[in-house]
Amino acid sequence: MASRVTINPITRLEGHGKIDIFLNDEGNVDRAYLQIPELRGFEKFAEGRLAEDMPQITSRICGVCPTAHHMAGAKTLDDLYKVEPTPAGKAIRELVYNAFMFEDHALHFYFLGGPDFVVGPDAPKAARNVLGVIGKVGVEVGKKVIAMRKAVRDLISMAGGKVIHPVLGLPGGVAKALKPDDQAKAKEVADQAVEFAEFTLQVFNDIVLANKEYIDLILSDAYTHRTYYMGLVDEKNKVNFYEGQLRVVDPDGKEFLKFPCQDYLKHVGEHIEPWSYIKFCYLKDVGWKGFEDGPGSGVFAVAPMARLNASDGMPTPKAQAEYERFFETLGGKPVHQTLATHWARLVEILSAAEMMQEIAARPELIDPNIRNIPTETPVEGIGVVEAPRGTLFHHYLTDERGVITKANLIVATQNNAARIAMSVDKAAKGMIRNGHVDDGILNKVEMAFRAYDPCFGCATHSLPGQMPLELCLRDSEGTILRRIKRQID
Amino acid sequence: MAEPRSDSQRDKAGTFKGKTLVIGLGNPIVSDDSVGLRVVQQLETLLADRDNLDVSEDYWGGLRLMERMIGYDRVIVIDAICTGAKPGTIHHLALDSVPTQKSASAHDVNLPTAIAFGRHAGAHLPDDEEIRIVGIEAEDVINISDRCTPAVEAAIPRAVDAVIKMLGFGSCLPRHPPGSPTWLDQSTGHRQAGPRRDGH
Repeated sequence: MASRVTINPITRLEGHGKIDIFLNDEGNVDRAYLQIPELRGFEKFAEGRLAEDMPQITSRICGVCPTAHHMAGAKTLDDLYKVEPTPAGKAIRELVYNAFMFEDHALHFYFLGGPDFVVGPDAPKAARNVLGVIGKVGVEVGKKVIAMRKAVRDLISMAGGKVIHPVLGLPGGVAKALKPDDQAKAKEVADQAVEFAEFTLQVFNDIVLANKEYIDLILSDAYTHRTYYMGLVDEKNKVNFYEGQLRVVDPDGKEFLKFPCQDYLKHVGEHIEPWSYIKFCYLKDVGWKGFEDGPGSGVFAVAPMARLNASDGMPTPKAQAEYERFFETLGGKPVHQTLATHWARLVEILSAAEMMQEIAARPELIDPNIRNIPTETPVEGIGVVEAPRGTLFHHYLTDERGVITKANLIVATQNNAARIAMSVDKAAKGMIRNGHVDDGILNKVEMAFRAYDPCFGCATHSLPGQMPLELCLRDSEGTILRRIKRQID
Repeated sequence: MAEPRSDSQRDKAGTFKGKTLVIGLGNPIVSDDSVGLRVVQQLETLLADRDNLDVSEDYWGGLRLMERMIGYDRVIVIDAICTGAKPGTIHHLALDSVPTQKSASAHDVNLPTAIAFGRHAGAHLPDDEEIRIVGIEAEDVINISDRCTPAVEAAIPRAVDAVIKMLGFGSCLPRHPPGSPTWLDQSTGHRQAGPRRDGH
């Protein structure tokens, strides 16, 4: 019989990922829980502030993806004031947004998720970091990564107005026009980005895909869940990070829903569990049936692999070729193996880089008409973007002066939270048998959530470092049998 | 990862000659997490127009912080820290002596790894000894708020003074008659002479 689960909410003082594993009387896993600390009080903080400040305020919630919040906020203001951006305003926003996706995905591959594969999942922990990647791929890659990140960040601050938090988004467009010199610079950086993305895919191809062991690891059952998938698509059902309709496919890959973001409350529900601050999103059309796989459960996934599953292809030619190779290699659509997210992310890097090229070539990019001035009285606005880690919704209600009366955000990690919990549970069940705990359990669990790259409410970073992970093994009475902490190095 | 100490940036008297970055980290809307930003906002005024010295802010540790350090010979990082000490306590730390890596982001590498990566890639970075961290013990780093808790707010002038002293600029601050030491009035942000009114 399983014990009652009572886990004290963890504070930021011990703000690490915390996993509680409850064993049954036979010593097998009854249930594993991943605790995620979350910042509190945002809704209250937003009330009484001007809606037009929300792109700035929300971009500070998350230190990891400020540009995603900024852009979701700007799009929500468009909807609030019922005003469409001008072609130039839209082009500048899209340029910044694709550059941001490119930068963020590249960071993930070289520094976070990639080392497990490039250096090897069985390599010692100390070697599985970016230095290990350099050791394997060569010192030149380090120079390339630093130079590329700098070029993209310079481009974002040129168009976005500020290095740290972009300030360009206004209802109906952007704050600053681009000049012909800026366009030339954008083209140059976009070309460099495409080359970098192709180089990165080549590294992945040579080191990961050429190794059958790695393919087997990606395809292993340990991280496989047959769920629904959600992502933004354009009118041709191609992946779009900035705009479009939300498309949901079922576990067999068939279109299940397609809706504008304004209908999100009709389709996306939030389930509450007593042990978690994070609310678990599910499809209302299916219903919450627990942390379960299959078409009868409303659990869905977002982020790169889900976006590829939920679309019919990529918007650009080179990325489309990679998209096709992805599904051919992994056995067709949809792909349910969570670790394939790392590859999907690289397909998206190439797509973002090619989109930068396409946008940089648009004549309207330097049109001085960058904004339509809103004239409507605001009531309610809903906006969406695909953040690097998945679908991000913003929803504001205001009074007639545009002062926020209620704000609601659904971030990517919430959309993915149920599936993350399922992966952690599955990894634990695979590593613990009859009371015997394999010491590799932390790595397994870590690989599971690294693929999702969940945002652990870590807008605050306090002092720099890696995220520690603690695992508590409890018996059926809830007594702690063993505590494993990942060493910080 | 310790490297031989290089004294090339100091003259015979020990005065630092190289390029210095003073950088505050934090999230402006998360209570005490914003303290690093508040400290550098005061330092920006006090240290304006200094040669070879930049005062700046950012929101990320790890890789991005390393990238901000490129081109500098000395860096002082000011940030909130959670060690369990009394809120407002000022900690002086070196790169290799950060006592806890808690509250860190899952999306980043730690600073020593990032620095090692930067050096491998040929970036000009300060020696380990020239990277110093001023940590201000935080009380609340979980609630969204544009204010620090009182104990942390009260620590801001002390942290500002600590950085000024580390830079060796103590004598360059506004002078006042003997018996009237200067202090920063947290409510106005101005440096004051005379008895303190903030209880310190």
